[in-house]
Amino acid sequence: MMSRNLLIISTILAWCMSACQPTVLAPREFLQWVENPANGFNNQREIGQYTLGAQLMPIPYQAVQLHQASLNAHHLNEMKAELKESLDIHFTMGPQEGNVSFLKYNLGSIAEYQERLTYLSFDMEDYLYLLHGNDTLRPNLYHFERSFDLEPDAHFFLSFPRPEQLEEEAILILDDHFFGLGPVRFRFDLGRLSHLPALNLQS
Amino acid sequence: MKVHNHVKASQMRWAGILMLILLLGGLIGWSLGSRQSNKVAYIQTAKVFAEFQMTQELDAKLDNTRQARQTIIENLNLRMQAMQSRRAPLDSLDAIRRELSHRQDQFSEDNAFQSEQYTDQIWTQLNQYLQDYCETEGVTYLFGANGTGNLMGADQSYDLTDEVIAFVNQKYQNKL
Repeated sequence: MMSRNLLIISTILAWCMSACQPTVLAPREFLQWVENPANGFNNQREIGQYTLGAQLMPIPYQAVQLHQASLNAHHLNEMKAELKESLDIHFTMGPQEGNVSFLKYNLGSIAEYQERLTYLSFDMEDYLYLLHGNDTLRPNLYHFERSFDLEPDAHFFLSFPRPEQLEEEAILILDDHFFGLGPVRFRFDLGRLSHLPALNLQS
Repeated sequence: MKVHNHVKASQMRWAGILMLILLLGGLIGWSLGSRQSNKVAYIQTAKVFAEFQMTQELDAKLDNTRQARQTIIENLNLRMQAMQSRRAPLDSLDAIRRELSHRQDQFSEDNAFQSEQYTDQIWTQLNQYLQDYCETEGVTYLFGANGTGNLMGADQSYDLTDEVIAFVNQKYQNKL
């Protein structure tokens, strides 16, 4: 009887210990995990004729993107030291339908093209901010990555100053007036940044 | 042998008739079922628009801008009155009168433009969220009751205004 009870208790303990262990993911699986909207870092929104997306990029995610399968602990620590003061976001905008470049989508004239290019390259930065608790953070870095019509979406890289104490969530707001969308919100679950799955690194 | 064949042919005929009846019954059932699954509802458009959080935010923003512009106009008015009371030269009085008139026209135009721009932005997002609502909740037709002739009367059990308001506000907040 005693030995049966011990067996049951040890089985339960073993199950609990295995459940409490952090998930270990291979680099490719880690990317998929971060890009899964259910995990709170990726937001895709369809509004009017446009699709907008915001991907919060945790440091290990950026490390995997840069080093891919050859990522090791040294690379990861280097990137942690380099990016520890920023919250980085990959922002995309594209047409909901068709395969036309976002820069040329529904254009009326060449002048309109120039106006759109100027807005995306320089002005849109002024209409992007991150709500974090009671603070409104402006981007330290705003970069419009031109794809020269190779794909429909326009890509932007944003870097915000990382607050010392992270709140449970942050909201990226694009207060758009150019495309007639108005304020568009993207919510991120910052609480999960400290509970990321572990990476299966190369030794 | 002949009798056996006759019985077999009769059985097959009956089986065929039975299959035809089943097929027709299935078709009628499917057609009725698909008609009943068309979910129809309506919303009070004006209420949804007014209680949409984006409308309230942009209204507040527009009010602030209007007030700031009004303050500029009032300051110019005060300056003009002060100049009049201390009998300032006519040309400087004319200049401030012109500026006041110009500002009033410009602000009035800007207010109207901004209001129109905000309304367009609100409808862009609201239309998207209403479409999302229909897809999520399986609504085939969502009518807008606004008293302008689209829907002049309806059973209130088809009124989804409050559910829709909650849904569009959650969507706007990016909580759904």
